[in-house]
Amino acid sequence: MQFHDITTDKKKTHVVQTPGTHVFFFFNKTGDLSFDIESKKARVYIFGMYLGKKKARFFVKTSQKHSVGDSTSSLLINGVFFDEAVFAHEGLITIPKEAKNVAAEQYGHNVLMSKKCSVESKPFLEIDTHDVTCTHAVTTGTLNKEQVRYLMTRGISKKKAQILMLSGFFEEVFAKMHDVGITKEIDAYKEKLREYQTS
Amino acid sequence: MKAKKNKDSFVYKTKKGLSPSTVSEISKLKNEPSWMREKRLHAYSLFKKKPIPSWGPDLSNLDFNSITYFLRATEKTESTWDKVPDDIKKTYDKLGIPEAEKQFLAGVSAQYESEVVYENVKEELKKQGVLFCDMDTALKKHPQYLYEYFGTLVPPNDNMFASLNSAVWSGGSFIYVPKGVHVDLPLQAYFRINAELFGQFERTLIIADEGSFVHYIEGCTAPQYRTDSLHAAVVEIFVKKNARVRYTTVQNWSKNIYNLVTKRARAEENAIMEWVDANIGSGITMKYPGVFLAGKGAKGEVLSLSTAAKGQEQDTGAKMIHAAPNTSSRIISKSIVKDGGVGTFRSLVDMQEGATNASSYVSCDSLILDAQSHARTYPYMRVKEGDSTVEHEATVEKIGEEKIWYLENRGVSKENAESMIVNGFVDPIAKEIPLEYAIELNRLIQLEMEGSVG
Repeated sequence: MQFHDITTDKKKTHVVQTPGTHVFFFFNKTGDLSFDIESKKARVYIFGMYLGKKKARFFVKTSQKHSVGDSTSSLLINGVFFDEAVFAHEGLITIPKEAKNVAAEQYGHNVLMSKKCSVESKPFLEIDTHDVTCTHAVTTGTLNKEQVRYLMTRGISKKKAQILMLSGFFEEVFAKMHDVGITKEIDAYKEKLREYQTS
Repeated sequence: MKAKKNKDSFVYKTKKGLSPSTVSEISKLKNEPSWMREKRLHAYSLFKKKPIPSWGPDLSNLDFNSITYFLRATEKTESTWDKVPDDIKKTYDKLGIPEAEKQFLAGVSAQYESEVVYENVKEELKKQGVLFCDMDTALKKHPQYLYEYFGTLVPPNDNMFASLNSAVWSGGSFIYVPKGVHVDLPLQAYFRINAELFGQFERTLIIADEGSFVHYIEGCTAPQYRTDSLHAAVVEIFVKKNARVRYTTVQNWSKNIYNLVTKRARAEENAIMEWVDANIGSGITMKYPGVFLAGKGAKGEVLSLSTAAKGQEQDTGAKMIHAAPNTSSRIISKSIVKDGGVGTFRSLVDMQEGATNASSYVSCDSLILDAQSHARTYPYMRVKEGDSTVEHEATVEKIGEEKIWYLENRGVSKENAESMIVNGFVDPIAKEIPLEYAIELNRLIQLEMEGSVG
């Protein structure tokens, strides 16, 4: 398993040329990211996290390009936005005719914590073969009001309830990263997230 | 149902190609008021400035100069039965289409009426105060509605084909439903006599006043053939407070046709607008029925089904603009592609500031039947209101081998198994289409499936 934290990496194209599990991670990244999958039996996982406050602006364009068959890729980006933060994600998956037996997926979930933040999502698919399983799902919304109220009835303040739920929201990404073998880096990321949230 | 002979037999048509004088001639031939002529000329000037869309299917072979922009309907058209392609004739036979209907659908006979049914429908509608006629008649008999609504939802500068339609429109339906009236029988273009029923540049206007309901059906499952290749229609629908409109389209144009249509509805407070859109035919279709959710609690829905085989590109989808609180929308799209066909889904969900507690759900699924075909999805979701929810999901797959294997295990042939699975795939949308169309639609899909095995 190969792990790459590409948060500060300036490279726009990441080529996967060997089989096995490749994991990429980034936090609050803006820019174009292309993942070119050129090896059979490559399993690529891409995890992104965003926490936007004040007038933060994030524009990210990702691309999962399968040029060979027998490969899989999975993208998950979770973001939480406060104040007047802006987030725009364009995610493309391309599977040409020659790439048979490919499974590719893309998931994005965004939580809006204020009325003035704004999110734009464009999950695109360009599939030119039938021997494929491809899926994507994107959701954008607020924290579940019922769940917040429930926590408050248990004596937890509204702010603490929201922090609790947002940790649960990011936990989904950490849990998936753990499943593909990332362990020691996760604690550091959780700490970084906590700092960022309280700053 | 018989094709009737018309009394006057002289044909009015304009020269090929488009110019301000052609546009004026069209207006004069129709005896239109000057305000409509001015609208047409203004739209023509906008058309001249508009570029062909830089996205989507390749429209570069469209030759605007070789089209006849106005041909008055008489008993005969320019086409003859021997010009109709063989595969279309074969489909009519397989679907069991009656002789006279075949002539009409193939563009050979220009009129089609169903005397008995139409007379009964007319009586019922008259009692309820419902207005239903073609647009040309509406301009003469009910000009106040056109004056107030025409071109306000799809303005002439909206896009190139809306500009063109606004300049040369002819035919199309006009419906006005008074407050509180529920029209139980779905209204269809078939019910209008002496009009260009399937014109190239149809303009339809539907106004459902407060608390009313109407269901309008456009098109038919049997293939329609025309020698002129551009069909650029515009549909504008106004759904007032607490009213509901359902607009069902079953489109099966022949493969030489460019079907480039702008359809938009405006829903006021608690209004409901439903588009059911089935695209089976045409060489290239670009169509994105939209709902502008302008009033609190308004609901919009698009159920879209498309099939694309060899030589076809279906570029379809939907647009939902949430501009008020508590609005909700749903877009369900199912697409099947085979033999090199291209199925593209394009959608826009726009949550504007102020659309508090608004929600939207979009689901688009594509079934690719072979390695020659293509599926594309380009959904756009723009959220500028923090207190709203948008959900979108999509899948692209082939028919699962394990599903075929399971059915074969139960004694079902491979052909029938594939056919069953495809029918199951389209069922959520097919079942929303009125029964007689649904039966034909299923047969049509089965016919399309033949030869796609293996």
